[in-house]
Amino acid sequence: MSDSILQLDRVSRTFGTTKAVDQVSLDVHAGEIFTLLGPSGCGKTTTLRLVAGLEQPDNGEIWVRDRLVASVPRNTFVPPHQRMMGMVFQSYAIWPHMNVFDNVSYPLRIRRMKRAEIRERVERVLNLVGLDGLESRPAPMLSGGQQQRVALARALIYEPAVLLLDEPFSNLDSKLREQMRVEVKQLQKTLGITVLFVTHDQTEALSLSDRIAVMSDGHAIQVAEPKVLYEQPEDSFVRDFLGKMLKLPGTVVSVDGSGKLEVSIDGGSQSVIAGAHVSKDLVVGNAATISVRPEDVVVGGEPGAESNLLEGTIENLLFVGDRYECYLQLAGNAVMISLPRDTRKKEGDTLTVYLPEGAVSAWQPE
Amino acid sequence: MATRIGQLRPALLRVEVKTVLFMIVIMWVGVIVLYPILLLFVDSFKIGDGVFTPRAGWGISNWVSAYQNPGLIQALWNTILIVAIVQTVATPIGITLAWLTARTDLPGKEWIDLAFWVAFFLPTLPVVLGYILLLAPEFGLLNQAWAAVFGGSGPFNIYSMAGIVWLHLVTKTIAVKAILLRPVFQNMDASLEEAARICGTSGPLTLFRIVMPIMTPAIMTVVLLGILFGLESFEIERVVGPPIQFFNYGTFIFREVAKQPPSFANATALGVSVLVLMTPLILLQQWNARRRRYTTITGQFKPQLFPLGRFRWPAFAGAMFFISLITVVPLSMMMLGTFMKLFGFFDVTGSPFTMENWTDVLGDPIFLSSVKNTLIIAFGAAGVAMTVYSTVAYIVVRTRFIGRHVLDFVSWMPITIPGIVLGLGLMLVLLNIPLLRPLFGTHWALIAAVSVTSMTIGVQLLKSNLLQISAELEEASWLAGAGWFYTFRRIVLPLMAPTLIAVGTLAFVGATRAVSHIAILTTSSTRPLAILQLDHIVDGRFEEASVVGALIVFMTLGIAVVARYFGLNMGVQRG
Repeated sequence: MSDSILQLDRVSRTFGTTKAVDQVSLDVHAGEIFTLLGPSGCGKTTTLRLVAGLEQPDNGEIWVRDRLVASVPRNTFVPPHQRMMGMVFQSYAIWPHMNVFDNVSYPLRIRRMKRAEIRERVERVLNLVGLDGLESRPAPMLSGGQQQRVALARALIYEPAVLLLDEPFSNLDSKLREQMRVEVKQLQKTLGITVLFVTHDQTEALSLSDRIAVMSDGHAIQVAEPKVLYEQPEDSFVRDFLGKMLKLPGTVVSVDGSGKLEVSIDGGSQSVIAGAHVSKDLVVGNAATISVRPEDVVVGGEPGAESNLLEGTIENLLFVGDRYECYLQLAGNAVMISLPRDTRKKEGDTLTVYLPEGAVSAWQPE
Repeated sequence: MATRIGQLRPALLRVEVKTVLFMIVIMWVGVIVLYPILLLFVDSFKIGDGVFTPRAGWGISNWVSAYQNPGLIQALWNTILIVAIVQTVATPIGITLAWLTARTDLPGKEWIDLAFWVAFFLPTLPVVLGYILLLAPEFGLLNQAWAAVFGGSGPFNIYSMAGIVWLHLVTKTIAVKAILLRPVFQNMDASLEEAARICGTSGPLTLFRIVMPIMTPAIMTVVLLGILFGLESFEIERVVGPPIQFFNYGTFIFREVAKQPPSFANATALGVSVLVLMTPLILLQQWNARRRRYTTITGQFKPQLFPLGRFRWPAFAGAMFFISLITVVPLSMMMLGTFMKLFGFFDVTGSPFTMENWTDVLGDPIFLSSVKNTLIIAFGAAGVAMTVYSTVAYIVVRTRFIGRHVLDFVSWMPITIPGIVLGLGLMLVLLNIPLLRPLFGTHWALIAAVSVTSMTIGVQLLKSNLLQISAELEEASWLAGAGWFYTFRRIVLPLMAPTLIAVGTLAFVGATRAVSHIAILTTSSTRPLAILQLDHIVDGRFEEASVVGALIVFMTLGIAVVARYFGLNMGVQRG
């Protein structure tokens, strides 16, 4: 593939008896933001460190463009300083005994670049990250946001093949975090660089990424664009990890050739047709779980709809400002949906909801 | 993306530097710590040393002859006896002083604590000299005063068993206990005591049932350390022992090796015996240190001071009297000594005072070469400490290098190996390895020996400093394109600089006052000031010894004070 810039081929890394990274294969394209998303301990940081060369794999191969940088079968390992990777660490790792200029120019000084060129490049990159004029500020006198910009500038200045970001926003307060997210996205667009981004925050992942790999227990479970990942999770882990899901247990009553499936809820009195993701091994008579995003639920039913209409009782109605949180007793299950601020419904009322076919998935029960 | 970036230098070279550096450091530590001890064991079974006497195979004849030597048994017994008496007297005094400065409303506590630190940094010989001038029979000032008041001759005699015990008490022994126990008393949660009182336990009962059990591990640690330090004693017995035929094992080994020809048989057997005797103590100390973690002190302490009431000022007077005994009294005696024609003789014709001692000593070529030797050795030791120990700390903390745990353990050994034994082992190493033999009698041998004195504390300080420096700071440098050695030089070392300077200062001071580690290895051409002072004292030239001692005190204490003034953390944490 011509636009592939980073390839991991069945890469594993074991610490003691824990398989931190287990047979992970990834293909990162030039110019995209590729995100490793998962809960802590899923192996996303270890994967990043394997790419950086800070860890050696126990198995598999890593390629950067056409260059093999780590291979167990071929007994090759390129140390981190020769990989041309830029990295922003979680702690930013700004060297406290240097000022901003010294920190940012460090990679160029190692490369024995001329002083005039170093000065010019530092100026350019500091301008890019919005730190103009702070060259001589000592590192300990930088704020969190400034530290991150310095780290970014230091990682960008030598135009690395891939920019590695290890939870870069986790140490910022929420307002700054949102601002930096936009800035990083803008910067990436301007420079057209490839970014490998590690985070446990799904909002960050969904908003920043071109593609996301969801990781769990050392495996990359699903790799897809954010929207696809959100709307069509192929794995129950991905389904539960991303966003909220409303889940109901039931029994498969019919399977249709086009991949749709009908599940009866509440002992057969109501039924739902699932038209999004459907687990392949479900047959008639199986127990199944259907899932739907709460925001896809249409309150009050859909005119003309014949199926996928369910009726429930409002148990609790909590006003939370912009809307109501409505706890609905639906076929024996308590689920939460949102009701608009101007709703007339009150606790104890019956409520009809419509689950659009295309938004409903059916899974093997847990 | 396509713009040119300067070429990286070839990496092969830098990887080599790392490995080579690690190997050199590991070898250095092995040769100066591990190998001497190993050789001591081996050589104690060697018949004939091959240098002074012909080699004649292996056997236990060294051991048989050594243990048939009544002098050796006596030396071992003397060692144990002195340590036992000194610890019995020093421990209650040390506990009391620590408690007074930590838990009561004693006036001037911080100053008293500072005086303990001064005493801790004072070299042993100047204090010993000061007390010889005060307590020697006939000319000792206190004896003269006694004779003037009561007539006859004064009752004090520093050249005695009691004198030796006294000298142990007024050199570091008690000061160290007070320094180590004070923070433990300070950090003890007062609410533990209060809880016991509220439950209905009476005051004294609280002390015995609550405070003492809580403090027991700490006190035990301090006593064990005191015993280990006491077993390393050399200078006091070397000066005061020979006139009364009193030898401990250290001075016994020294005498055997200094004989012509030297008798390594007795020396090695005795050295090994002492190491074997010390092993259970070291194990006990480590077990105790581990156990201590689970007990006692909570993070949140309530400093509730105990009111001394009417004992407040008497206690203050007592503490002041004690700290003057370990600092001002001996040092002023020594200073007086530098200005007297003949120490203690005030009725000579003309003035008893003179500047001649100073001019004589300062103009003496032997003195000047000793200054030069001391500076070479001290700067050498500081250099070794900063480079070797920072690398050792780095290997232990940061790498997965094979054998790093062994290295960590070996860095702990020097604090427990007596200087005279290590000096003997190093001598054997130099004599046994043909490649190293040319180093015998050079400054290098002395630098190696004295640098060991600061190894344990140096490595520990650098290790804890390194643990505070995030590994990401290094990793960022690697990713930026810097190799290991460049990163070590430009990132790791600068970040460790304050601690490195503190360790270097510590090593410098340690080297300046070291005696036991180098007593065996020194030759007339490499003799530093500390050994020169020792030789002057042993030869009875107290006036010259005083001048040299004054200079040593200045070099050690002066540097420590200056370093402290410049805000360096001198390593040993306060409170």
